[in-house]
Amino acid sequence: MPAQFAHRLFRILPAGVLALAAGLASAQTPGAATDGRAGTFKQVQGEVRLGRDDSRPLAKPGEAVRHGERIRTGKDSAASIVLKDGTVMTLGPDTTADLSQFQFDSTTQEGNLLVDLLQGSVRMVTGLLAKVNPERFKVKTPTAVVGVRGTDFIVEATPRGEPLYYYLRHHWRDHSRLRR
Amino acid sequence: MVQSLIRWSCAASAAWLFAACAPAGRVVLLPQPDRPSAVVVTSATGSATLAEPYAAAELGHKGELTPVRSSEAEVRERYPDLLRLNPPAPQRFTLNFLPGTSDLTPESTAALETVISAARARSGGEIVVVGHTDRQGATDANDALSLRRANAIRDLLVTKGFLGELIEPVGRGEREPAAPTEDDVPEPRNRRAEIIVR
Repeated sequence: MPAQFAHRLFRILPAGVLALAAGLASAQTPGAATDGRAGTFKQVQGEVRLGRDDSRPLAKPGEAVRHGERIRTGKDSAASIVLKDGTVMTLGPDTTADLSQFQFDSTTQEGNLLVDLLQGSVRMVTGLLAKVNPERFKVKTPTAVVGVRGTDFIVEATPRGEPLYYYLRHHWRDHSRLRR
Repeated sequence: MVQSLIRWSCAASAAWLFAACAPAGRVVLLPQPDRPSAVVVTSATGSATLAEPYAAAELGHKGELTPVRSSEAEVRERYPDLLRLNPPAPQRFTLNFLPGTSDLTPESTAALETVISAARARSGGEIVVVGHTDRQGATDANDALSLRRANAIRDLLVTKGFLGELIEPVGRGEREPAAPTEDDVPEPRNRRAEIIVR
């Protein structure tokens, strides 16, 4: 309940007041895992950020990821995140992904997950959520939706506006395996 | 000078042409040792089920799906970070309560130190405390009781210096008995807490 309240607050309040709102919410529910934490950064390599711009500091291991947040990794960067239900989400270099939906009731183990992969690569090793509600666990790319049946998989999305970049990155030096 | 410019622009436009054929994305199913695993890829034009390890689908810009075969070697070469950054498997501990109380046994109290050092040894380490009850009493009451047990252990861990926001207390009530019983049967073995360090 306090978590839902906090989310509603986050939606109405201007960005400048966010920190204050978060402080109040956690003061009301001291120490509880009701701070809206959907997951936690584990390994972080290079430049990894939460949010749509560079206003927030670089992400660190132990830092929270919340429902609705965007995660971005830079060149030569990567990160792994464990979500509350035990799903492991690993992001490769040059990746932008939104944790568009995440709900998990740890008592009943029900909930849902939607990751929007805008570009780059993400690996998902599914946890409890996909076991109990596999039909509500999805990864979307700009052109497709991936649904699961209990699983470990990689999804990659190439940004449409940068085909030259993609070409150089994946085909320039490699003469064998990756050219199709 | 002009010549090299022309040569360069030819190379660039060739790159653009090749790039037009580059897929918009791909999905690769990885092997899962202990459980059957599959994904279904759906696009505007159809859907494909990947059910074998390293089965893959390439996604076209207009939603075309092309089944392809990947391999361990290709995944290792193409996605080295996705393999390397996968966190180590979670560790599990079971804590027991003194009969008829919410107090831990001396052995379990001592085990809390092990739990904390295991969590500190991991990058971004968290502790999930899952409280369980036996089947005596109503489901709702047991949900609340199991959460109280989990919270009590959370508080102990915080007292011992572990960061509260990295501890997640969970009450599973009577849903996962260690020793299955009929409803309303008291069973001390089911009054326990499981710790997952991840």
